Amino acid sequence: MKYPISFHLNGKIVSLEVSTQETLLDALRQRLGLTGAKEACNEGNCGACTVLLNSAPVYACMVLAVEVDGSAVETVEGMEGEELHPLQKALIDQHGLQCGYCSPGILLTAQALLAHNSRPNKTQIREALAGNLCRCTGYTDIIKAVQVASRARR
Amino acid sequence: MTRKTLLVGKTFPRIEAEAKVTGQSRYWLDLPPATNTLYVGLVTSTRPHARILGIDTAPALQHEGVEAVLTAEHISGMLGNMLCDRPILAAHTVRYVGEPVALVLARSPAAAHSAAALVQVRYDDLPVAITADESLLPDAPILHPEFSAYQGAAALGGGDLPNVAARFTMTAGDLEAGWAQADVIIEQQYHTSVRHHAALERHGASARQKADGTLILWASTAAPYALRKEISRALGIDAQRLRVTCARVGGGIGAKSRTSIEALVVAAAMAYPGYTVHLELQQSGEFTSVFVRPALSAYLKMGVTRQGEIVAMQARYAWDVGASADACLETVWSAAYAGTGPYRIPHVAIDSEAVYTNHTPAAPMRGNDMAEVHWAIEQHIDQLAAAIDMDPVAFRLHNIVKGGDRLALGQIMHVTGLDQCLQKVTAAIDWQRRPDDRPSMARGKGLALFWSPTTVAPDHSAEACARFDDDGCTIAIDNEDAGTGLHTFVAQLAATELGLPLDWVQVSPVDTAQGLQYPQRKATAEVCSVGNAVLMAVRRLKVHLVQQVAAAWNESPNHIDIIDGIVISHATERQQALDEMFRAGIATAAGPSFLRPLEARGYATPSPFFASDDPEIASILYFCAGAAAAEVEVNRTTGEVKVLQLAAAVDVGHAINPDLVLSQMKGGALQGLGAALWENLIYKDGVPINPDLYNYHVAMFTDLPAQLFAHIVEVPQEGGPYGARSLAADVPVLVAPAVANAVAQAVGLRLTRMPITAETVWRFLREN
Ligand code: FES
Ligand code: FES
Repeated sequence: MKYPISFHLNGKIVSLEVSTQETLLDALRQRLGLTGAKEACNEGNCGACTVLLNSAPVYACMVLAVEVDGSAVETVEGMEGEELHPLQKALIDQHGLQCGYCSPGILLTAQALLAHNSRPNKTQIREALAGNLCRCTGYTDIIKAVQVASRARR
Repeated sequence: MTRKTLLVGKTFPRIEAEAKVTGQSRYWLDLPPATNTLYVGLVTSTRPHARILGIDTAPALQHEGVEAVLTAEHISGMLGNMLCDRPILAAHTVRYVGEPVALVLARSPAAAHSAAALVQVRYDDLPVAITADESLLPDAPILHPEFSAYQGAAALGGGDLPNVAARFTMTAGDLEAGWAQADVIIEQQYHTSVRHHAALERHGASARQKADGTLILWASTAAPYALRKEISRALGIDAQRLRVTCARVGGGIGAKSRTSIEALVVAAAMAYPGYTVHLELQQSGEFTSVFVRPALSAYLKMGVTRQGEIVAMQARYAWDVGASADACLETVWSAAYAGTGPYRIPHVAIDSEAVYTNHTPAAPMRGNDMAEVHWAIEQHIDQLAAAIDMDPVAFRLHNIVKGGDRLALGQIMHVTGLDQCLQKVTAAIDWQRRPDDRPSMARGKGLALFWSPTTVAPDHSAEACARFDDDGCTIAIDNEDAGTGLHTFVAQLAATELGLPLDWVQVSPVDTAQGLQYPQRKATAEVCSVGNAVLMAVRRLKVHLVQQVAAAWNESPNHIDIIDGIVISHATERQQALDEMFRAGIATAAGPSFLRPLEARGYATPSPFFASDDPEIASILYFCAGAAAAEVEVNRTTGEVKVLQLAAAVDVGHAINPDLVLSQMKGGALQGLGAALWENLIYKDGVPINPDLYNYHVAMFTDLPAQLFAHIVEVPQEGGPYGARSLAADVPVLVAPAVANAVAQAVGLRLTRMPITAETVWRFLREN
């Protein structure tokens, strides 16, 4: 059984037919060709697939595509404007990435944090990002990047 | 006159950083889907050890969309570099839960998945041994009865005991005389846990046989050349027939430089020409069907004099390598030849052995797993110091190996910054200030030193290729950068040599079609060989370039140089930008003279510091050294251990990109912390009970210690590119024993088994 859905994806309306078992992650990656959201555990354990659903971070591997009908979804591909988003720039400059597999998810979670708390302290950053694993960097530089970006935005 | 800009020793963002943060980077799973694909549903063993009585494939074959079910009847071969002891598909016996038994090939992932569940394997269970200690018992099951027939088995000193695949020993002096000199002798057994590399990206591979019979493999690997070598040998095909390419690697942590499931898809593609055979591991498969990290059971006996002189050491390192030993051979070898730790000890006998057990084959994680060895040694050193009432810092300083000392190996040690590292970490956590206990909270500080041999295969050499055209300079090496910063390192070396801005240099995705020649068995991820090969390639490239310009300008090549991308004649002060030369030709009086695209290759075979008498195994290029210190707080009621401060220092020779080195160190330190406190793949009756990222604890944002210090020490490495020795990826080594020592100081008890969980501490506090 296929259901037609339409939603805002990075500001543009998209419509497609999805099956009931299809996850948002599969719809984004396989149907819409947006591979920025990463597939890692695929079971809601790591946060690599994080996207924003109506401005809140969600694990796209744990959301069914039918659920996003009428909603707004943002992925890492929509972060850049004319230039890199301050969070992207700070993540590069502060060396908050190694293999980079966690980066898109972390960027979106951090973006949601900054949207409602423009000056988060370290503890708030850690807690907001607790659902995003990074095996490589040891987190310190990611936290620094979020702080730098929050200053750049003000 | 303009000065040449040095791009080494300076921090730059990783060269591929922007592509990664914008989501543009393509990892294996992001590659566009191929047409005509057969998806693999992997059937894996549910038993840790059993004979296969039969496989019923009929129900799966009837499933809609299923093309075939392949078993060991169709695919055979043994994987391995030095020791071919890993069947591509289990034939008559399974030796671990997760071992591939059959492949369902189907038209859709869903069909592959549901049909795989229909394949019925009948087993006859065999007794199970899950730790090295169990496998060494006299009545232990024998895992590889046909061991002596395996290719490579004869050279490894194994086979003397039933489950021992390899044995290396190192002796020096006279142990009996050593014990006689000692005033205090301490014996102790230590254990580390089976851990998982847990890179975020799972393993996957796809392969296709083209009409001309050639094969192409796309895999989530950092080492395409090494894979090509191993797979072509295992399948008995000419290496030139197989092309291996990779995409970005979403973390390797040691598990993406070795071969496992990739051979399966190549074999299946050979059986189904024209189809792309596609295999993606699911999360539990990633934990059980590829690699885990080896565990160590270490017995140590060391003797010390009242004056604080370590005089004798006996060690038996029994490595639990899982069902295949091949990927761990250098680890086992290193533990023998570097198994004293960074200490000067005159009388030594070390025995290091690879022991088969019934779990997923092990592969080292970041470096040679000297972490496990130091878990034992550094705790033992603290116990020795305490026994003779000596400060652990003073005791270590008194006994560490210094440049010029004769090692137990017989070699004279080169200079390292080990003492500086120790100084840095003790200063960082204010070692002298005793931590203040609270009634319910005990605090303690601990430290650890380490050294780790950089090993190479004896027939080791590296090749690099550098090309110049109007896209700038492109370097090809044999290793993908799985996150270590290797490619940025290489680009910085090349840009410095050529006098180019960094963004003119790219490192191409690794592809065996680039045709680099690697006689050696393993990938050359270490900086010395790769770096020197790149330096030679770009130096040659520069000579060609300068010659062309000199000819066009009618000048001597000796006067021509490239600075910041501008070609300059020091004799005539004539200059022209290099990119313009490529675009519009070299400006001469007679009109433009066009530059030919240039290519040059470079090679390096660094001479080893120590060549063993096991010519088949490895040699040591040099030692990397470092130190760590930790302050912990232990909750006396719950047993919970909290790390308040953690400091690590590593002598990297020369930090070509300091911030990237620090980033490696911080990441490594947190992995080491995870090893000390949480990470443990638990087996119950041989079955892993926590094979996923929810139940297997990888450090999270909230686990970060309040203070984490990383320090670079630089004592240049002779023969290293610009003095570089390491990218510091092996730092996890340091941290775990420092944490253990801090816990021991805090609560006055020693937990010799990794990890030190709240539960173990709580039990111990209750019982003592
Ligand atoms: S891939 Fe979605 S949480 Fe891991
Ligand atoms: S950079 Fe590799 S997982 Fe975060």
